[in-house]
Amino acid sequence: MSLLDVEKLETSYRSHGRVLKAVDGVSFRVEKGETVGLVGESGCGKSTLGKTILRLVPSSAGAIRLGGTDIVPLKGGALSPYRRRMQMIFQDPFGSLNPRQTVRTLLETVLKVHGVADRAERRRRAAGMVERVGLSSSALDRFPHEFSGGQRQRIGIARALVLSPELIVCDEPVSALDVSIQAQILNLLVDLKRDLGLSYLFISHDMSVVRYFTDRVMVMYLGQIVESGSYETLWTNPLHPYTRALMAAVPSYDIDRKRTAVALKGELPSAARIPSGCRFRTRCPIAKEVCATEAPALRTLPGGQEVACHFA
Amino acid sequence: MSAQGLHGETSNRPVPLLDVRDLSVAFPGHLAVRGISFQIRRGETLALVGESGCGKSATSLAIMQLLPRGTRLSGQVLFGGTDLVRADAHMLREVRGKRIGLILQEPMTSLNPVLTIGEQIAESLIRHDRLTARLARARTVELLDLVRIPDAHRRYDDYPHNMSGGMRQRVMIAMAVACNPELIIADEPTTALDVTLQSDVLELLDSLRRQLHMGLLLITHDLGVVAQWADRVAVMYAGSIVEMAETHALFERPLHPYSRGLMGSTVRLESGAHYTTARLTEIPGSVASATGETGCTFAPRCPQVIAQCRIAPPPLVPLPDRLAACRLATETPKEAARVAAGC
Amino acid sequence: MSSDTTRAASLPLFVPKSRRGLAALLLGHPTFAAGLFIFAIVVLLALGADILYPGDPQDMVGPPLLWPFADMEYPLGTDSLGRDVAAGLVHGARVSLIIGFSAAAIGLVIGTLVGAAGGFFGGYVDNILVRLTELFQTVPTFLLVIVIVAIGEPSLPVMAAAIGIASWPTIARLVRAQFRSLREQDFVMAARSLGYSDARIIFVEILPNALPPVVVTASVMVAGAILTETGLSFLNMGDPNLVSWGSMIGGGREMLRTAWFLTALPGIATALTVLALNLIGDGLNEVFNPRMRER
Repeated sequence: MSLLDVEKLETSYRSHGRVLKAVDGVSFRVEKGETVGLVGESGCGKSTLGKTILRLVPSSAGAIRLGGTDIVPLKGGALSPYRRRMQMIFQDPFGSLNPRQTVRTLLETVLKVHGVADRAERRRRAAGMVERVGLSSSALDRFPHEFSGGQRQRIGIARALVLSPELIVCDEPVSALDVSIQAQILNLLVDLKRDLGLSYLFISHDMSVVRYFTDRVMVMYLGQIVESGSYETLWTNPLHPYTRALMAAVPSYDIDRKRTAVALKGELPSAARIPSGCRFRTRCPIAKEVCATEAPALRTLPGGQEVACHFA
Repeated sequence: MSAQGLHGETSNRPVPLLDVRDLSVAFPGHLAVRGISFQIRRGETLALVGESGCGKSATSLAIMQLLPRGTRLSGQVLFGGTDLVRADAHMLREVRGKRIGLILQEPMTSLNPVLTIGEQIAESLIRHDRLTARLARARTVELLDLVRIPDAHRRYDDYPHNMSGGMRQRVMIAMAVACNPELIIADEPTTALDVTLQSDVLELLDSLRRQLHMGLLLITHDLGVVAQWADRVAVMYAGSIVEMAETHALFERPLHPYSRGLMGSTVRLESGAHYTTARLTEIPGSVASATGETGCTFAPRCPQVIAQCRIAPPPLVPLPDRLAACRLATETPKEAARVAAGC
Repeated sequence: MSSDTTRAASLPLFVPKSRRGLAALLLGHPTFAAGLFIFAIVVLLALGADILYPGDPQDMVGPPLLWPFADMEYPLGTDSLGRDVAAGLVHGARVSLIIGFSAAAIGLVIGTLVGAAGGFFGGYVDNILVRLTELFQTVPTFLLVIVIVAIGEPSLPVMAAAIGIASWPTIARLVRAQFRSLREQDFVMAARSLGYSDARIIFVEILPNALPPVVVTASVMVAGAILTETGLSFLNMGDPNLVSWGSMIGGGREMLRTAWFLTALPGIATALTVLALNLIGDGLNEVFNPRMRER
């Protein structure tokens, strides 16, 4: 049984009187101990998907199964034990910590709310968590604004780990950090995964980081998954034109390699005017007539890769 | 590789377009830029690369003399022979927007939300080039075409919020090149854009640079952008330039420990490295450690630090193919070469 | 403190200024210091009213219409009934401050609850509360207070309640706006994912962050409440058993040409107090404003 099993998930929102879908029929699984990447550009719905899975945003259709149980119909007290098993690390190191609480308050409150009545026990666990993420215990009595961005991310990670979750949804956790600090945080996440047996859903727009960090990756466009594959196959053999375009757009460090020509035409369509058939066809370099009439389903190929394209 | 001097030294060369000498910028309580020097010629792209706190943005604002009141500035910024640091308001008005164009990171906040984009570009033309309103409009439409905005005639009357991020950035570029400037300063022009738009915008900027024979100061934190688009690069750390070289020289053999740390921590898509087999190189600590350091600002984080490094900051010295500010380079050039080759 | 981020901070948050000494604070904001100073004097006088001028300030103690400094036993003179002006001023200070603070407190509590509920929950709860807020706002404040006092009795508690009821909408709107923006912040999302109850999120997570502009507004509300009470008493609609600055101003109305000090002195006292509160409000605004982070 998979740790996380998402089936035909949809998340809608209202805009100017219309109902639009940020997440439009997404299905995937995360196995225990896996790191699954979710990559795409702005407006693709990846962040919304992450928040929907954690039930921070209500879904409008589909199932979210954690350890076999669908948590969509659960509320309040019934949802609480499942909440403990999944946590989130956020992108913005400035906004993700309450500026008026010390690190100690932040961490110990989590424990208090979740039933750790003994004060000494809470102090011990908070101190332990802070050190596990690479900060000294003197950090406990400081306020968020006294820390750098990288240190704040560490605090955010400590907060996510306090309840010993099984799955961590990382929503662009290193995108707002400097490169040298990114490396620190990524290494920390790798170590924590190994030491604590965690599974990650790693959401990012940065292809290079996703390639390095994930075991399997899904590519999202306008609310749908267009391709998914393992780290051994997808990057060496991308099938969907969008995946290829994304990879080609990443500036290469190889000076001698010629800059590849711009691959995508036009602009991202607005969510209110999603193209008929294949959503990607308005920007696709190989679109044909069939793409306008028939939306390609996400089909699984013999090697395990999945792709939603008529020509892959 | 060009025949001109790497460091832009003048010898019998014409005066460089931009010649920054010993520039220092001090905000109240914080020294942002510590005496840096570099040059840019017409038609070349110099990248200033570094992380937060390195002073690259302060440098770009200093060149344009756009720093907030209370900032102390020293050194010289020679633009076409005139020192902008000592220029009067009249001279600066001549230069800003007309001879030097500025492109910033966030097009949404750089554009006036209550004016159409056409009006904003035209305004620049009317004030600087003294064009009539009609001519300005015509020229603006030309510019919008030049930056590859489709349907330029109609787009003239669009407001910034009617346009996507990528389009807005092109409008910024149009504004910056409107009066045929000699130098463009682009401060993180693509950081806020999706990767598929990034290459568009950078390619546009590069082609305009060649077309209009401008100099381009490209400020970025992204080494990939530097590798693809810059002729020369200066690596900045905590307010100083630690290494400056032609791009290929830096990427083949980075010398300064910070440059090497930066390249090592960067995840490269094409390398195919995976966390299961390779660990990312970290630079331990953070740039905050540079505050108050009397020796080399990178010393607290440097893997090759020796006692001498903490006594005084190493000067930027010329080597055969670059400038580097590290004792390794100056005192033990053979050692430096070996270390660099072995990276 | 340095940041190692490449993107600008998303929302300016009100960060605790834990490290600044009070002395440095006051020196940096002279108008704030001046406001605090004046206000402190008013508070001290009000507190010491019974010591300085024991007894009832409405007692007729001296010859009528004495000018200030004419007789040093009554340094600020006496009114037409021989009542000591100075006694009236210090006792009146007490009345003004009590009304000012209690009315502001009532307005704050109601406004905060309404604003927080609407801002946090959104949807139809918010709709109803917004309409309610608008209803109260469309009624002219002063008239509403007069009506409530007229229906009830002109006593301090009723006046305070009336002014509080008339002034909560401003706070409600402010708090609602703060909650609407703060509830989208990541740390609130984190609190929700950690299973915190709504009550905890509202009062422990969001409210402390929403307060700074509210505190600033509160100081101005106190000033407004004092002015409203002054107006009521001037119109003889205040508590007839108490001396307040407003009643003194009203009482001296007829002698404006001859004994103008009777109106001027309590008028100056009111103006200074209100000014002090406004300066304090401005000063708090500056103090709470976050320094923009250097990149």
